[in-house]
Amino acid sequence: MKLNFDSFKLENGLKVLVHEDHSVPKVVVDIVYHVGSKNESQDKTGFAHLFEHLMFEGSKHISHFDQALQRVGGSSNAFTNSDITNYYVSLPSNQLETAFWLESDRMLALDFSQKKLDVQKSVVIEEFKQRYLNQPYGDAYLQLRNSHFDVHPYKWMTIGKEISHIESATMEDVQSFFYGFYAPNNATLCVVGDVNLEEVKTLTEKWFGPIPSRTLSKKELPQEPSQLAHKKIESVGSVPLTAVYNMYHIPAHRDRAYYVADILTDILSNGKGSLLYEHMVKQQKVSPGVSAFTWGMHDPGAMSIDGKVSSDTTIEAYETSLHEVLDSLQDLSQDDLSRIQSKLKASFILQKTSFLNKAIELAVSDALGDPKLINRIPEIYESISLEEVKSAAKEFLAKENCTTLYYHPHAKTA
Amino acid sequence: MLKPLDRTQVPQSSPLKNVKLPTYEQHELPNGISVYLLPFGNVEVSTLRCIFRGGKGHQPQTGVASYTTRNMSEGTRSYTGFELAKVLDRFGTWIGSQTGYEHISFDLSTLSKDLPATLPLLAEVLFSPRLAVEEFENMRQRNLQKLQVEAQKTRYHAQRLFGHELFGNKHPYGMHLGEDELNALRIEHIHTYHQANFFPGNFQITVVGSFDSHLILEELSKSFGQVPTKSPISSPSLAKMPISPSGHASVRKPLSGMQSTVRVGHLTFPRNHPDFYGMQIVNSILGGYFGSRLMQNIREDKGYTYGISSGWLSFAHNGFFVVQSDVGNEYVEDTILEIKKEIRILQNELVPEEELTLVKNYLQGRSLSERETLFQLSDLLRFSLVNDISFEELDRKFEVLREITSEDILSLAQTHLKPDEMLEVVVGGASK
Repeated sequence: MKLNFDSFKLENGLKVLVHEDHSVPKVVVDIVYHVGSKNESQDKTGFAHLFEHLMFEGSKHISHFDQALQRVGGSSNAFTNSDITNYYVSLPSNQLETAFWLESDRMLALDFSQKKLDVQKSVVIEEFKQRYLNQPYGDAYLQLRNSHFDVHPYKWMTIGKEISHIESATMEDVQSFFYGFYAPNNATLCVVGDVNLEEVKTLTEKWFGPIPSRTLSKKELPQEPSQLAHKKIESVGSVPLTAVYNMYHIPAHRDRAYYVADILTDILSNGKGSLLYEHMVKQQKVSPGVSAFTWGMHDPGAMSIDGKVSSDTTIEAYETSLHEVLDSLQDLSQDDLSRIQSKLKASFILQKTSFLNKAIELAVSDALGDPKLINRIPEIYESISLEEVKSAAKEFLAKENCTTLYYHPHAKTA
Repeated sequence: MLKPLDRTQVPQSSPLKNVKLPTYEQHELPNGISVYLLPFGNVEVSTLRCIFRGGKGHQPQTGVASYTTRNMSEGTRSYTGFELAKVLDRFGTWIGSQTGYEHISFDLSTLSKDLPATLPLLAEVLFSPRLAVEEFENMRQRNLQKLQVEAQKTRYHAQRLFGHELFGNKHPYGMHLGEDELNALRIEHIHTYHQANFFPGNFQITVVGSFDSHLILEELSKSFGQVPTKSPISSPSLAKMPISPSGHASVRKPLSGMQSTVRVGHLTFPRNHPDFYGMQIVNSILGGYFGSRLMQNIREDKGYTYGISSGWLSFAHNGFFVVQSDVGNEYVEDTILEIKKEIRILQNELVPEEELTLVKNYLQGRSLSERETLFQLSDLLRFSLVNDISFEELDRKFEVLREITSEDILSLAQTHLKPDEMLEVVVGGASK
């Protein structure tokens, strides 16, 4: 099943993608800025995400973004990751122009007070606590990524390295971040829903056309060197069970090998038909839950295999069991691979039932360099051979390519 | 000459359109099982659902309904759980289940072309599960370990305590599947529960998506339509039993961490109360959406939290109102004060016309997003069937939404919100 879309570009560099779906009188307007936490400097981390919050705090001509949107029946949200910042608005299709009015004004210029900056810093600090510091195992990835990556800014999570970086953000920092990264020539607009191409063209030209293109402050990012030896770190926290986090280097998302790694994680842990679940959880009972996934990073990035160690089991037994599964990947049959390929194919189609999913997938495909990718991904997965999977398993899941975090409970005091 | 662009003015637009719910067809299989077909969407996928009577409001032991449901896909007469999962993977088909208070449902979501091949697998899960003692024990052990992780979270304790205090821990709306309840479950309970609930005659079928009606009915007849049906069970709903609230005004549980979970609220009314829709709107203004008064006050003005929300939850036989937030430990007391203050403002001051219009438009727009995918329509259809509320009646909320005035909001808030009789649960705040 192909997703049809049209594309055009304004003179100021803004790229636009339009997919029509008239099944519901609704439209999603998604705008992706090609900036993420990897573009931060290492002493000002968490900034791309803090900035995402600030984009809702008032722009040059509109003091209350959300209120203006809600008044016409719309709602919005956004997410930031290491590579991109993505904003989306969904609203009744008769209100399409309101989305253009709102999004273009906050691309033009922001305007908010010191108080609003201070409040959002506080909100983000509470978010930091809620999601990373006040949860069992919540800070595991903060530690793991810091060790796993030596030089690439993927070293830090999008929330930031530490709370103090967010506390010290100033108005000047905010301004320079905006003009360095928020520009029509660093963004893609995706319009999905009950619209037609001509009206989208007219509205884009009208609202975004007058915004000048800007000089971007994108720097060349340091390349992560190959890892040569297994890295091990340990941590202790208020947790009931030991957890073992393994992180492995994998190629960039644009690379075909990324998809091979992704198929590997599906074979390992997608559902009850997967190898880790059957062997480690059900047969050997060394873990109450174990999962494998790729992080989706655009540059050379990572895949993970994480699990908790059952209370009546040792770490050694857990690791032996895991290695049995990883070794068994060399005995994988064509049938095993084909099954996962069919599953991925069907889930692509099932995901294409919501406007928002379609818009985000289009935006992400574009951020990866080619919006047509959205239609090629199923073919890429289908073309992957058994030999590729086996050799990727050997290469990526090698011990020297891995960083392990052992997360232990506090020693029990008698 | 072209007029310069005025960015201070909201662009003009036509009025919001209502979206009527699509219509469905009702059929009957040869043995009398009801089937509801709702054609929807332009992608060749379908979601089929078997909705059984029963659920958490009708279980003899705490947790037996959801535990039976979860054990059913761990293996059937012809397949182990692993084999079953692999067969489903081959089609990219997904079987899931939910246990509500008044129903248990099993869904099959698939490419429409694979419905005929996968439907018999769902039938096996429903009527021929193994329910083996080893699988049951293993699942229990895994869940006990997961509960230990949950027990580190302030939210987990707050939710559990809140239910216990409000309804009593014997009442279905207040009980909770914790360590003790899990340890008390026996495989015999599971077997008995399965036999008592999962049989033809005790469920109805819905199919939503893009499919050939004739073909679907034929396949359903093959898988479900031949077995003789028994009469549906009429075990009384336990949710009808009297509640036994503790009467405490404040419950505090220390747990180490940087944040505390705050949950405050009180009992309300059941789903069929005439003010149900009205109170949904009152609740939206207070804490039901991103622009709500609580979000504006506690997050956007004070920065105490990443999020705060309120809910007005009504079930078949009772309901409750709750405000919940995770806040920095130092902000707990002020947050509770501000919550009460916001409730009293709703009871004492008319909602400004501008805010009311905003909320009305927002809610109307949001309902579009609740009717967009086949999965959402499948949920609406289930809600309608389980609660015996027609699609027309579901759309009555738009009427209420159009007509409600600031005076109505004030009087609803005065009648149903009880800031002086609220239960406050706070979990957290202890130093490490």
